[in-house]
Amino acid sequence: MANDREQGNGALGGLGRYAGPGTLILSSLADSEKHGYALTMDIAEFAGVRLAPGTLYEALARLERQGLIEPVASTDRRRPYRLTAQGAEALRTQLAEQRRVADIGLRRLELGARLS
Amino acid sequence: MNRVGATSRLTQRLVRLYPPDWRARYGEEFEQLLLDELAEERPKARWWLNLLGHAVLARLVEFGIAGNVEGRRRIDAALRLAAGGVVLGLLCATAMWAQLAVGWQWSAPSSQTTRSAVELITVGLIGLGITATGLAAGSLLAAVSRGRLAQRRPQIALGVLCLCIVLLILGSGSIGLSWPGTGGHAWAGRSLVPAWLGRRAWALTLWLSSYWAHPRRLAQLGPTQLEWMLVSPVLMGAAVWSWRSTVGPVRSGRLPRWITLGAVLTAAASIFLIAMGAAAWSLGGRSGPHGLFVPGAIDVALLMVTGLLSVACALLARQVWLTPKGTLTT
Repeated sequence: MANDREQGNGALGGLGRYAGPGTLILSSLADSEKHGYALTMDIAEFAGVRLAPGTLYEALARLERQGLIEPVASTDRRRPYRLTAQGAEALRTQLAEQRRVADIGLRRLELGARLS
Repeated sequence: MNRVGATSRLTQRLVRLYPPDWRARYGEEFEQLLLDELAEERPKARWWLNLLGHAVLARLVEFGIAGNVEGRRRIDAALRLAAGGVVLGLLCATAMWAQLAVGWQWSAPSSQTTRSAVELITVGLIGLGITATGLAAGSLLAAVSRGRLAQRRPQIALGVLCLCIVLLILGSGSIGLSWPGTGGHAWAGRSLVPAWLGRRAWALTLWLSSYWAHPRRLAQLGPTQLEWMLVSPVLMGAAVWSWRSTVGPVRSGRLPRWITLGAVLTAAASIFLIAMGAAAWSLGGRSGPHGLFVPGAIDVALLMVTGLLSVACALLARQVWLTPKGTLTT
């Protein structure tokens, strides 16, 4: 089972504590390919989180190993990455799950506010 | 100093913190990311800690201690760690064996436990010696067949290796003359343990001593012995480094899995025997006549190290055993 998760044939759940940076990177790559620095800047802009280089490349290496992203051939030292079909599916599942949890939380907050 | 050049050198050094395989894949782009970030702003302490932390993590992954690594790399990591265990086990066992040999040169031990301890440690040492020779020969053959020796330009490392070996042979021969065993006594060679071997083993492991924690006892040693205790571990470390620089890390290559498994299992079994011998001596042995065969604090420490090593090697053997066969093709 661990191997299945490692090969990424499911959601990002298998990433455990790495799901955070993984989701952010996949979300950033969802519209276009980006290299490391562009990813850092984009994630900082849309999520307000600045991924440190060590964290970024550990997550990139994991996502690549899982087949969720792939490098794009480049002559530049800044190698871009793009989402694979498997990565897009994993991101969709992960975000849907996050939305479900967020919806439940928001509903309960509203309920709590009404009761108090 | 040119600021751009200094930053570039700094990033190159930072990338070197990561393991070679990781650098080969991500090094260039990672270095560029560091350059981009450093050009933007002066990083905070957290940024540096993040880099250092992930570099350590990447090295642990490389050794198969953390993360998920593929079968081939897992086997190689297990083999490399077992090779480290063999070297450490050889050192610990030689140190204990040499101390027991001192007593045995004067008198046979009065306790059967101590006698068994010497026999167990001797068998373990032979097992480790065979494993070490096999690993060294295998690595050398693999390096020669792949032409790695030519690629690495090993002249300097080979020179350092030869120099270290010569100095260790000459030094241990000279220091060994003050061996508290026979040291030229008329009883020399009366026992199971050859005096010439005991002398050299004692001299080579003289630095593994609890005397470092007792400056007064240390001061009782002669300056030559003290210098040797400082120099010999450096020579040994340099010999290991130059060997590794010349031949490269231990790899399983195209060897069948049973050979790799056999090597790791032999290492585990040998170190286990040594740990058992050390335990018998340290915990159950009685001293012989004239206060001979008395275990010291260093022997208890060596017992703990060999105990931990035998467990670690057994876990490594399990790791090799559990690695799926299908992943072993190169």
